Amino acid sequence: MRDVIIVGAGAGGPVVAAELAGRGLDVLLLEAGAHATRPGDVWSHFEDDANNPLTGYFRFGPSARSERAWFRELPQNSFIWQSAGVGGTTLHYYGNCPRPYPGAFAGYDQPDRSAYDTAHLFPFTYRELVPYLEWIEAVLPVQTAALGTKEVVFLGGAETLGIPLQKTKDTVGFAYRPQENAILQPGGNAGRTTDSARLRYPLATGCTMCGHCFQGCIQPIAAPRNLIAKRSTANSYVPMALTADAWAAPGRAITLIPDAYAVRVHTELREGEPVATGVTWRLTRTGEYQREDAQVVVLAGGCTENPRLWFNSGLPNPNDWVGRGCTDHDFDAVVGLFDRDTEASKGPGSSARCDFPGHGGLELVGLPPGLQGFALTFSDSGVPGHYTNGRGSRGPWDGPAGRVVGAELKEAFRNGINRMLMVGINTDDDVEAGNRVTMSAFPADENGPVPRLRFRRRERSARTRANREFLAGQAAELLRGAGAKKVYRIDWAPILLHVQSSMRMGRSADDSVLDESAEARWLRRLFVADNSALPNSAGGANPTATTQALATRTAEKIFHKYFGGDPWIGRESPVVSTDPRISRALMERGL
Amino acid sequence: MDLSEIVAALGDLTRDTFNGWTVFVAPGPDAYSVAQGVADWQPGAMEAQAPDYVMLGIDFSLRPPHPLARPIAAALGPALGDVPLPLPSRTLPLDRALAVLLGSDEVIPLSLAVALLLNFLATQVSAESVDGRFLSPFARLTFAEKARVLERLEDPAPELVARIAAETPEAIRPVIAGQLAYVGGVLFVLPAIATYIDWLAFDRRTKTMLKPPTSWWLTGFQPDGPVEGWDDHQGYYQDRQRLES
Repeated sequence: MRDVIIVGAGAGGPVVAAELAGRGLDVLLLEAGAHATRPGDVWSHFEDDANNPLTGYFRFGPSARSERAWFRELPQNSFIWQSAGVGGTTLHYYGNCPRPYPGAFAGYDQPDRSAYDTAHLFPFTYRELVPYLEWIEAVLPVQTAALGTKEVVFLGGAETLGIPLQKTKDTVGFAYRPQENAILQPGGNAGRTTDSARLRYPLATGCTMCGHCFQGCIQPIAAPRNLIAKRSTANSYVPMALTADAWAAPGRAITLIPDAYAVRVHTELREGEPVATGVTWRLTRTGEYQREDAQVVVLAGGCTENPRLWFNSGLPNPNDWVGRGCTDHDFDAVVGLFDRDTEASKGPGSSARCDFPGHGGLELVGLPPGLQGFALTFSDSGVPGHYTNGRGSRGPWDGPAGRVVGAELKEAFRNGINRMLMVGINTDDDVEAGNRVTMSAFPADENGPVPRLRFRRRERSARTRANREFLAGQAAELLRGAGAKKVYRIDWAPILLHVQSSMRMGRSADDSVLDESAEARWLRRLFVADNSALPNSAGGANPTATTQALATRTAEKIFHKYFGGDPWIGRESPVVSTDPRISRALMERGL
Repeated sequence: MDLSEIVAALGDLTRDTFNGWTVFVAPGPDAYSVAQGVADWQPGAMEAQAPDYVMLGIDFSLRPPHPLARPIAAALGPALGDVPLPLPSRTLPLDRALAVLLGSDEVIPLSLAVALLLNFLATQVSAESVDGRFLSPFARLTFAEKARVLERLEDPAPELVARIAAETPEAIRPVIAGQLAYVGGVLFVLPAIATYIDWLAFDRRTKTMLKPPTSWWLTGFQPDGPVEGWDDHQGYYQDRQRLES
């Protein structure tokens, strides 16, 4: 029997794995997708190779790319950008690590407290989470981003909005700033040359500003895995977990099984209470089923897959909130065209932002051309000048919101991808019961009945809609201030990239699945440790840092409650994931 | 009647429909763009082989048979009797060709079902589209008419949903409207991705570039080929490299 089985090696699962492995527990980490142990051999800088939604190596599907991606029913115009594999969606994330907004937490008493989703706050205070945020910021590590041309343009526009520069980690008011990113910043030749020979490690360290974040970071070439610039969990927490015996005195290296799709959580009654006891998974390469038992089970398979596994396992759902309350930051995009170079496709995907607590945030988003084509045509507002789907709002952008297609699309790209600038809108959106995961009527796949992810796009709450409109206006003004000659508002349909809170932790047992320690209310010894555990959308801040801090807290709760251990956050100093002991152990073990 | 001839002709109709569709998103100098009244001197969707990308994307999304493909074909076929489908030996009304297909065990690709949706709606938007240049009624539409078709697909009329529902097993009926809206969205993004991504330019096995992608020339992306880094480091904002705790 294992001490702990963790289902899912994305943003959250590896955090729990590394922390508990560092305490000497016997941890099994399951991942449905591939483990790219030599990413330079199997990844590339080509967009279609990585991001083709059906055949790319980052699609949500099995490691054999000849096989179909895993199907999820989307009963509306929407799109999921999610990646399977060790690292999960952090494989293609931009490393943005803003802290959540304090107003999303219990105990917040500032004058703007009514501006947040007050019905679905974190069940503890922001101050309680800060030590865990500080911990993960040190482990990853999180650093202030360097500037490229696009950041200079963006921040120049932000300076015209009449908001101050943010100089603190905590976000306490409207402000702009360079991003705090889980990216090792440029060192040596990085960012200073295009000569590939001079960009190899150790001549270059950290981010080489290649612009290929969404294809997976492998920079600088020849760097040890834990010194790759972008701190995907595949480069940070997973290497730590696999070498825990090398950097922690009681440490014990985890067992990692990739290509293992969890299909059932096992339970039994103990003293009249249901208790999680183990997991069965299907090896996707062979079709073989395997089972192991554990003292504790942790779900970290994502906002869609956790409810699916819950339903397919027949686990209790007495208040019907499993899968409900999904938040997605109700994304939108505002795109500016410029007469000068923005170099939008170069450098890290996003290194500058604005925060508007109570509304959400704006962030600079750089994309390669295929993804930019997606971003310009994915809308719920029809085709400007032809139809609007009842939307097509007007504001400080040009014309009604909607898709950029036809001659307009050709002209926008002819102007140059490096003369565009896109501002992503992360709305502080409300938890709404109707946005939810259920089981689909479509045929089951090899891993069981498939999920259905419903977002009531045109029926979001008044606060969510108002926040999104406010942010779109700010984004357009920012681009105007930066000198854009044309500004498009796209009005994205739901893009399920920042998905949160489908297994939410909450203050009330009436509308939450997890208690304040992230343990399931109706199933002892079962915890959730990914974005789905978040009580809300963290105020609109990118969720990974919040999830990783919460996962660290959850690891501590598990260790204390079921293994008799003492808390360590605030009492010990963290080991940084770039530690040379980890590099050495990885090389010795061929990892 | 030779089923294989009908299957091949329906495949041609599907491709022709997506030829007409993808140039709506990214027009070029091709005949379909010219016919819709919006063309462009630079390469567009046709030159990027976007119809192949779109059809592959639609058909590869779910292991066939897609539960809605056959119901859509059965529901819309009878309304397409005025559309001629040329076979090598003769020309057949589209409804009769579909009836033969539906009477067989052939798996109906979802791409054909989507093409039938576009063509059915095209004949509603313009009765004149049933015959003329190209195989597909949809491909005969103007740019503005194509937009009206997509409007009706993204927000389907209850009559269209009911028509398909009548041919659909009860368990699947609730998904019809949502799936039409989903397809409506996907139809826009796939041609845009196909036109501006690098899918024709690299060898997936060797991870090497076969030729510079046309899209890189169109957009000014990586003019000298793939890079490992850029010399774009502009320092730190106000020289700040650390925030206060």
